[in-house]
Amino acid sequence: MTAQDKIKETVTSNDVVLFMKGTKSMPQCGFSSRVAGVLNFMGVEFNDVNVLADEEIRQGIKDYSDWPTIPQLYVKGEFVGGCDIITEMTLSGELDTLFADNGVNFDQDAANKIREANG
Amino acid sequence: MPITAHEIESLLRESFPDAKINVQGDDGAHYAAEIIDESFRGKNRVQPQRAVYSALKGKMDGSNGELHALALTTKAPE
Repeated sequence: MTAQDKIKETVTSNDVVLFMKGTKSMPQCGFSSRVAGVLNFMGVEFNDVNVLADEEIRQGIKDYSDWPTIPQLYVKGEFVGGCDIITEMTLSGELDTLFADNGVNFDQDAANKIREANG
Repeated sequence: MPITAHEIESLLRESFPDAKINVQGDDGAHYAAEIIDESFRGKNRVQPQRAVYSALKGKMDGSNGELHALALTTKAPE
């Protein structure tokens, strides 16, 4: 299976996938850490893919999305954005809407708390 | 080779001649850039940032990329 096939299978067979440096329990980059932290705090179940563990995936995910940076968040197979976009969408409430529209469970109170703390 | 804030701004300016561009940072690898351009109006969140990355012509790519981290804010003028 090519890297592109592997990536496609991963993002289509899992509702929420974060391609990141490190893992959700041990992120190895501040940007990856921030996005994983938001998802963890919001209680979102997600599949984490450590790009540092596989050079083919590390390059392959950039080609797949035509996006040169990590982290990258996918919901229901669709590329949502990187760290800056996820941060903005968290604070604006768009991320809540995206999860709700896609039937992804998350803790609404926790999401509101993030906004209160960063308002 | 490190890159300067001025070089980043010059690259962005080539692609966004009329934009309001503000690049912060001075360590050669980590920067924050705000680009306000009319061409971003009506775009989703991914499209403007993709255009900005494209303007940077591979400087962010892979382990050879000179620019390790660039925090981006992209919007259309108010």
